[in-house]
Order: sequence, then structure tokens, then C-alpha cells
Amino acid sequence: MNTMSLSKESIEKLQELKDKFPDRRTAILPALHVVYDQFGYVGDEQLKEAAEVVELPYVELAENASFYTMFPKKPVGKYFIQVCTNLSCALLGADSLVDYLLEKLNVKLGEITPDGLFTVVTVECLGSCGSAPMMQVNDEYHENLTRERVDELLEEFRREGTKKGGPPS
Amino acid sequence: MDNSKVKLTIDDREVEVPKDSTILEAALSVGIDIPYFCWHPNLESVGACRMCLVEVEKMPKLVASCVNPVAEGMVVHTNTEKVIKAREKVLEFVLTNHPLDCPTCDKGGECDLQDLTYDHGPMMTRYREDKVRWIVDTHYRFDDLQLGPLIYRNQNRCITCFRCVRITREIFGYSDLGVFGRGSKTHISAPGGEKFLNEFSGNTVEYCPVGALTARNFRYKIRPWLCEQTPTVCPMCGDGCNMTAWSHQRKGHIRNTSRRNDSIDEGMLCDRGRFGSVFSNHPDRIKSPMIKEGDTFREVQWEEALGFIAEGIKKIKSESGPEALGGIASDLVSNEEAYLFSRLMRQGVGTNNLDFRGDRKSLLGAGALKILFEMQKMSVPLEKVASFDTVFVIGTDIASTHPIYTMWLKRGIRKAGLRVLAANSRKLDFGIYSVQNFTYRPGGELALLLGLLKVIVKEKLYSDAGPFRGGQFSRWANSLQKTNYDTIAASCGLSEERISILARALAESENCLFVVGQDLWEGPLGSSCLLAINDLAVLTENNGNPRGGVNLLFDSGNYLGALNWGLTPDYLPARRHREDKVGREKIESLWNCRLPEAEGFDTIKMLEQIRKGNIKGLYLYQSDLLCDFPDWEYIHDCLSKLDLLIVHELFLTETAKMATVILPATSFVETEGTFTNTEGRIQRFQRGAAPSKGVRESWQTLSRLAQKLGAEFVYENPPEIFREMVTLSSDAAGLDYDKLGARGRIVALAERVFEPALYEVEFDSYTSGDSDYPYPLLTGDLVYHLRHLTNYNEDMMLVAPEAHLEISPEDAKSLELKEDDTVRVESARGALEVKVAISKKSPPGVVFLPRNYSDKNVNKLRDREKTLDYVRIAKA
Repeated sequence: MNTMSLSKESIEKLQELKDKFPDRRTAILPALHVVYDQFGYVGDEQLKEAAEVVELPYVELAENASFYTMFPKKPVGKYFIQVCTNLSCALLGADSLVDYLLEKLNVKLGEITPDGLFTVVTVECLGSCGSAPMMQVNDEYHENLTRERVDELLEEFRREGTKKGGPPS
Repeated sequence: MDNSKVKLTIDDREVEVPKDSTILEAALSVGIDIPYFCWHPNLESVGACRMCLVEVEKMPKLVASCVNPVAEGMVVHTNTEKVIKAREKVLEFVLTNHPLDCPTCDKGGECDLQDLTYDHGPMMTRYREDKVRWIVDTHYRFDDLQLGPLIYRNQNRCITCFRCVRITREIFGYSDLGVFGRGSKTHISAPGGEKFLNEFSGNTVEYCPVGALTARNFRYKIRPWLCEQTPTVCPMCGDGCNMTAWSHQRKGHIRNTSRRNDSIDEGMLCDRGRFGSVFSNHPDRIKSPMIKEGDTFREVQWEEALGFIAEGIKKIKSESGPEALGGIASDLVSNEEAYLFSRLMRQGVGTNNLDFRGDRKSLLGAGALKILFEMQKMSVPLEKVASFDTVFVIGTDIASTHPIYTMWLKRGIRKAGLRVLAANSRKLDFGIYSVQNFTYRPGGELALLLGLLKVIVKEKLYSDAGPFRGGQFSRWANSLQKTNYDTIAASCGLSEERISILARALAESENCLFVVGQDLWEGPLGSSCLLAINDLAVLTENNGNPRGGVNLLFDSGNYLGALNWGLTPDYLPARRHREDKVGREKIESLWNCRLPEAEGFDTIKMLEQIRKGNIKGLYLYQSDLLCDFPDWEYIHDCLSKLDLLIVHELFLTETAKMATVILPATSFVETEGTFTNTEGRIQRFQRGAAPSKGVRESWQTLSRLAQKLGAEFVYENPPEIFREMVTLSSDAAGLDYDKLGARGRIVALAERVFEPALYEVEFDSYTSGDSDYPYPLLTGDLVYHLRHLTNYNEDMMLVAPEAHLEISPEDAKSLELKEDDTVRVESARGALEVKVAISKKSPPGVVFLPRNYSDKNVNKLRDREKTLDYVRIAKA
């Protein structure tokens, strides 16, 4: 089976969603999550496939996915680093943190590092203003960041990522 | 439905409106103007633009009038200082990122944003930051992105009202346009990098309130205020949508916009009509009369050409009699021109050899036409279509042949839970709206209809009413027993079970409309199918009184008009039969002549007579017989045999190239008159552009030629012709040309009321195959084309530039073919090399090749003697 295709489990989940709600379009967001959970991103091909299963126009899934920056639209590294650049974080140096990350990993925003481990993006407020600056890596928050803390975290991720072959989520 | 009304006060005026109205609708209904961008009468309200804010007493904030329903005793103010200020602020906000590039914007002069800012807007903007700019990497000017072949997008100008997306999705059921991103990054785009292309795409441009969407045919061409606007009617299919033709003194007819007629189009047009009917300026237009000399044509003066024709006709007449002449017109000429051509041939030439049909292997004779006229008594107007609970569409890919009719069906599905059942040899696709397809094998249409009747009788799904009792009924019911289900299933390819499902659905529906495609009633089994449809409607008591109905579809702009006004051999104008003494005398006294007695020939019989050498002269009036006739070799042979071939045409067609003498004709924008649409509605179109210098209007040419032939008819203008011809029909007699009005008039032109009767139908089918040529070949118009006429339109040739053989995914797989592979399609008659399109509309084992391309003419594969053509396919 093509690794880009929906897994059997995903298809089952989507089929369940199809008739779960009075208005089928309610299933759009949960369906996007199903796709995201399997692939770590929601690409055009995956959405087309999912749209066929939930029997909704593909365009409606694509529109919704485009509205939410939290759904990456193309493949990302095993560690998807989302740095908040909103007000509090910005005041406490989020921009230079982003620069530091990019320089250290030697990538541009949104790119995957050659080892496939990291992607850095900037996002809007994640509601952790009291512990700015902060970033979300996959599903976890990392707060009160300093350059040293970032070094430590990256080191840790690198170790885990190469060892286990999968993100710790 | 709740019909109760509520009273409210808007700007000190007492208003009474239906309970489910919105404040905006209530205000508009009494002429109080509230500005809006995103609202549109055909769409659900979304409240996206906030322009329609009004003040409602006892409500703490201003409310968007387009989404707020009215309530009893509500007091609304639309013009308070608060509202005026709010509008100003909304506009200031809308304009923050708007580029204000009005001087180079195509919408300039017809832009809602421009107009509303002029009326309500701030005089200055306070916004000093950089505007968001959507830079598009294209060779084209400015920031325009080509969304599809016909539509361009300039996102900078977009005010995100989403009208385009809502029109595409809600009204037409297509999902090839979407709203992506959010905030200032919201944009309109085709999803997944695909093309925005559907047969209704032009509507998004017309209803874009700004210059964000522009159409290829008009952008950067001319300012709208330099054009003249003329009310016209689209001739590109039988629906008869109302349009406004825009023309420029120098550039001629340049574009069309809708002209809302709530009985037909509700302000929407399909692309074939909107873009495809702009062909008057094509370089291939014939601009002068021409006489063939050797291998070339010599341009001549009108009088010389008409004299030449008159001499030619007189010569043949004196040598071989008037029966040696014939005339074939087209189903696109106006009612007046049809009437005039009929008069010219019958009175001036003196023959009944007359027709307007040139693209079929079989034609309905006088007897079948009589039944067709009778069945038209069961028809219902277009605006009622959406209110049925079931519509049974048979024998047509209605989405391709009648796009706006399909819009009404989609509306029924969306709003009223209409169920569409479709029986056809190709599947119907209504986008996101569902259609239940019952696909029968080509040639099995009558088998299916008989199967349906059998099931209904067997399961006693009809009422116990008077007509369905007694000996006569049993005799009819017994006649169905002659055919068994095995024969039926073998012919139509549908099992007894499938047929039963469909039969029950039809019989048990509350109110069912039968929509019968022209391919069915004009097909090889046409007359029998008409009887069977009649029986179905009568038996299920859906014969239009009081419920149900039968709509026979007429596929081209004035098919019905041509039929009504005398372009068949047996029916004189106003459907007077040749042998009907009263009608005949009426016409003879009006025309002051003796009508020819001899029986006339229809197109197919005329061709036989030409081949035998009995017909020597043929007048083709806008009929591209060589391209359209379903047997190229044969028609070519016939036309070469003629001594005199008069071609009166718009373009130098393949047929025209074979002519002895050519006369230029005028298109629908260059003349005036009336068309009759598929409902029987007579609608007036006006002259929108002057014909090229030296081109005479067709009605003038026909009259002048008649005079040269000794028939003294003189008309001042088309209205005069109209006034004369309606006196022949008791139904149309009262019609006043000047008072046809914005909606036109439905005129039935049938003298009697419909008497429900059951007819015995003989089983027939034509499904036999051939092992050498396994695939039955279907043909027809693409949604973007009308026969070969649209070959003269740039837009349509851009959208659908070449012939594709449509095959099913299953056949593609077994033949190892991919999209756009080139294949050789071969019949016993000939071969064509075309590209492949894999289409879910094609059932396995059946292929479709459009008949719209002169370079890949499907008629080169067709044989007039075979009811169904078979081909084989091989990778080229």
C-alpha cells in the first residue's frame, strides 16, 4: 500500500464521522484531525482521499485546513517547532529566538532539516503569555525559553529522535 | 409553507411582508434602498460584508439587515446618523487593503464598491500602512491570476463577500472554487491548484461586486460606458435565457450579461450562452454575396446574386417542376425568419420540400409530430420545475443540453427535497447535488419504458379510476404482455429489479414531472417512445392536470419556433396541417396564392431525392448540413450532385464552400425578432449591433428573393412579419409584438385540450453489436458547444479546444489508456485520431465523441443506415 494513502484505521474513523452529525459538514474539523494524526500534516492528496470517504466536497476540507495555521499543509520534521511571535513573546525576544533556531538548525522557516527531524514555524498566540517566550513542539509546550534551554531541548530531541525513530507523543 | 405576514415599520413606513423575510428584503420590496455587497436574491444570506447595517429600535447594536428576520411591530431606521456613520466606517474598512486602482480596473463604471463608496463612503482614508498586495507570478499585467481559461482573479480588489463561491456551490453545485486562508490573507482560489472551470463560471464575474473577477472576453477591451446595451435572448439552447447584448460602435457585439427573467433564468447564464454566443465579429463571417466560378468565389452585388438565384430556381422549375427544389433552414433562425422561409419555399418556389432538421438519422413524420403537439399540452413552465417532488429525466444529458433547466432542478434538490431520477445511456452529474442514475444500454430506451409500464401494471401501482378499468384498458394492459422481462433486460441492460425500483419511485411519487430529452423523442425509436412516455404519465396520473407533467425538451434556440412556423413539409405556419382545408385557405387568402399540393420531403427524403437526381436545387438557410448530417460521405456525395446549391449563412462553413452561390446572413444580434423556447414561450430580441457594411438582414434577403420569384410580399420590418403570422393561430392571435414584455409569453399553439389516452406501443430496440466494432458510439453537444457554431467563438474553443473520446474508467483500464492518450477510433465508415478523456459519465462499454469539431468530425464515422454506430478503439 502507498504510504501516502489513508490507513485502514483512519478510513474507519472517517466513516464513523460521516454520519455522526445532523449536518455532515460538522465532520470537517474532526476529519482534518484524523488526517493530521496519521500524517502529521494535511496535504491536498490526503484531503482528497478523506473527502471521498466522508462524502464531502474536497474544497470544503481544503478551505477549513487553510484557515487553521495549526494544520501544516506539507510534510514537517518529526519535531514540529511552533514559536509564538505574538505580543508577550515578541516583547521577550521571540524574534531573536526564531533567528537563533533557524541559524542553529540551518533551515528556513517551514523547511525540514536534512535529517528529517525539525521544522520551525511561527504561530500566533498560544495562550501562554505568562511564561513567554514559548514554543510548542508537537503537542507539548516549552516555556520561559532561553538560548540555553533551546540548546538543551534540541539536544534532547535529537537524541530521542534518532534513537526511537519517532516523536515522543 | 407558512404564508402568514407580519407588519413592521421601516423609515416611518408601514410595511407588510411574508413572515420569513429579512429586514433587507422587506425594505427592498417597498423600494427603500439599503446598500449591500454580499447579499444576492438567489443566495442564502451570510452577513459577510456588514454594509447593510440598520438601526432597529430596542436592539442594542446595529444589525445586519440581510440576516435578521422581520418581526411583528419591529421599527427599523435605515438612515439615522448612526447608520450613515457605520456605513462610512464599513467602507473605510473594506477599502483599507483595496488598491483603488479604478482607472485601470475593468469593473470601473459598473462596480458596486465604486458606486456605494460614491454614495456612502468616506471622502478620505485614514489608513497609512502598506496595503496587503497579492503579487502573482505571471506574464500577464498587474496582479491577475488566471483561475481558469475564462476567468481571472485580482485578489487585491476582492472584498471577500464570497458571492462567487456561494453562486458556484449553492446554485450550481460545483466545488471548484473556494475561500482559503483567513483575515487579510483570505483569498478566492480553485482548490488544490486545479482550474476553475464549470459551465456557469461567467456568473461569478457578473455578480462580483468589485473587479476581483474578470472575464477573458471583456477584460481590458473596452469601457462599459462606451457600449450600447440591447435586450436579447440567447439562442444557444432551448431554455431561452434573457441576455443583454453589449456592443461597441467599432468593435461590434462584444459581450453578454444576464437580463433577469424570473420565469426562466433568475439572472443566471451558462457560459455557452454568455460567452459562446459572441461570434458576430469572427473573421470567417461572410460579408458579401458570392457566386462560385471554377474553384473560387467571386464577390458580387446583392442584385446580381439574387438574380442569379432566381434564374437558377426558375430554370430548374421549368425543366423539372418545383418538386426538384428544396429548402432546409436551421433551428436557430427566428420565428419571423422561419415563417418567411416557409413562405418563400411554398409560395415563391412552390414546393413543400422543406425542413429545418439536419443532424439526425431519423425524423418525426407528421403523425408523430401530431402526438408531440398533443403531448405539449402536458407541459409545465420552467419556474414550476423546482416544486415537484420527483423529476424523471430521460434520454438526455440535461446538464449539457439545458444548463439553466438543470439549475432549476438543482434548486429543487437544495430547497425542496426534489428527487431527480435519470435514465440515459450516459450518467448525469449534478456536482454536489445527487441524481439517481438508471443507465440503459444505447438503443434500449423503449425497452426500459415498456418495462416500467409492465411493472406498474403488474404491481397495480395505478389508481382505480375510471379510465383504468374496463375492456379497453385490459386490452392495452395485455398488449404489454407481448414483451417479456428477459427481452427487456437484454435490450436495456437493466434488471427487472432495477426497473421495478424506478417504476415504484415514479408511481408512488406525489407529483412527478417527466423531462424527455430530444435525443429520445427524435431518436430512432422517437415516436414509440413518445407514446410510451404518454402512457407512463397517464397511467401514473402525472399528465399535468392537476398534477405532474411532461416537458419535451427542445435542444436549440428556436427548434420549437421552426416547428411552429412552417418549416416541416406537412405543417404550414401556425401548425396548420397541409391537408387541413380551413387552415390552408386561411393561409392562401393571407398570402394571396395557391399553396403547392404535392407532398413534400423532409431532410432525409430530400437527400434521397438529390441522390436519385430528382432534386436539383437546394436552398440551405443557416444549415451547416455537411458538418451536421450523421453520415459525412453520403452528405458530401449528395451536395456535390446538385446543380444549384444556395447557402445563406453567417460563416464560410464547410457547406458554404460547396455552394454555387452564397448569401450572407445576419446573426441574432444583428436583427430583431422573436424566439420560441422549449416551454413554448415567445420572447423578443432586439437589434444590438449593425450588420457589416453591405450585409442585408436575412428577412430582407428572403423577401427580396421572393419578389424576384414573383411572390409579392413586402415587409417593412420583423414586427410586421410577426403581426401577420400570429393572425394564423387562434392561440397566438392576440399577441402584440410591442407588449411581449420582460417575461415573454407562453403560447401553446395547439387547438384542443389534452385528452388522456393510453396507446399501444410495439417493442423495438437496436442494440445489436458487432465483434469487429464492439463499442457503441454516442455523440452530442458538449456543454460548451452547440454543433459547429461555437467553433467560431474564441472562448469556447479555448475551454474545449479539441475532441476527446470519453470512455469509462473500466474501459480505460482494460485498454490500458491514460487521460490524453491518443487513440484511433475506427468504424466501418472511417477513422479518427483523437485524445482520450476518462469520464465517469460513460458507462463501461459505451464511448462518446462530441459532434462539435470540424477537424475531427464524428460524422465521418457514422453511417446513416445504421441506427447505432459501433467503433473499435486502438492506441495510436
